[in-house]
Amino acid sequence: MKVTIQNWHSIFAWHWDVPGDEVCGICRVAFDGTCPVCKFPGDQCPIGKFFDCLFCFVILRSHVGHVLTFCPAIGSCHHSFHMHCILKWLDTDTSKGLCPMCRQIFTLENSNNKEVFEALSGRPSPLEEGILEQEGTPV
Amino acid sequence: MLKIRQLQKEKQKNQEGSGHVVNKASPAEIRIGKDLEELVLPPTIKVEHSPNDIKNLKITIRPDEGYYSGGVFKFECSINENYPMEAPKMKCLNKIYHPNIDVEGNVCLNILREDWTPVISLQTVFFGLQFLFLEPNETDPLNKEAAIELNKDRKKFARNVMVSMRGGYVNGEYYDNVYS
Repeated sequence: MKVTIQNWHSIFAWHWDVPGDEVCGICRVAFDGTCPVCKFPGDQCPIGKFFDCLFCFVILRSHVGHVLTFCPAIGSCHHSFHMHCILKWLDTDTSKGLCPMCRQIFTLENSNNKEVFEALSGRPSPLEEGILEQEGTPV
Repeated sequence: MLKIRQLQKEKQKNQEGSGHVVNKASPAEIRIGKDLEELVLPPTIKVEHSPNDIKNLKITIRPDEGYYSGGVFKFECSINENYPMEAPKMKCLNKIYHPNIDVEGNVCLNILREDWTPVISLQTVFFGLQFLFLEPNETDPLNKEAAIELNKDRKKFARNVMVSMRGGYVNGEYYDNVYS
């Protein structure tokens, strides 16, 4: 029997490679959905004029057109959050730059993310701040 | 993605059906809704809210042991749009004699202040509140007289609590009857 394929539709599914129960600890929304600040994946993201928010930072286009793909913010403490949610928290005074789960200094596990983190928040990633603090003030 | 959209729609329908969340739920309301859904409370804690306002909760705590056993303590919990970046605000509606709650009803609980983090849920907050009645502590007090008494003479403190809970004067200050 000969079969001629005339047309086909490809279907795909994707899933973040995130450990644990796979909801953001801050907003309690699954990583595969948007964080509640972004109602729909797309262009209404309030962060950064150079970036498009698709599923809260699934894909970010930098101003030079370079495409960065990365996952939710996973800390070096292995706690993960929506990038949006954790940035908002780290921006508050009460956070003191600490992970909301374990109260260690929140640093991103992935160095690629670190770049984006800095670009988005407009400040050095907490990793560097943490080092500076440790050097500057005796513990 | 199609499936996610579909799920979201279904969820929205369900929520509308239960009258739990108003049409346009803000991020704070979504999170509060989730917290309330997941609440598992002992019979000593009751939480109520009007169906169209989940940002203002009424909490009733009836401790069944400790200094405050048998009393009924009412709290108002107001949650602002910044939740969970900001802690909910707790206010005790009774005027009570307690080292960590002042006569105006302000509550001193670490997780509501300096130790707040956005991963703390309403469940944790309510348990923290109940814990204050089981284990009042003299460090970092709001009602200094009560804290000094608790530190100095626990028996006298217990007597003072008894007197205040029945609706009476302690050190010249009148406290509400909380047995009703």
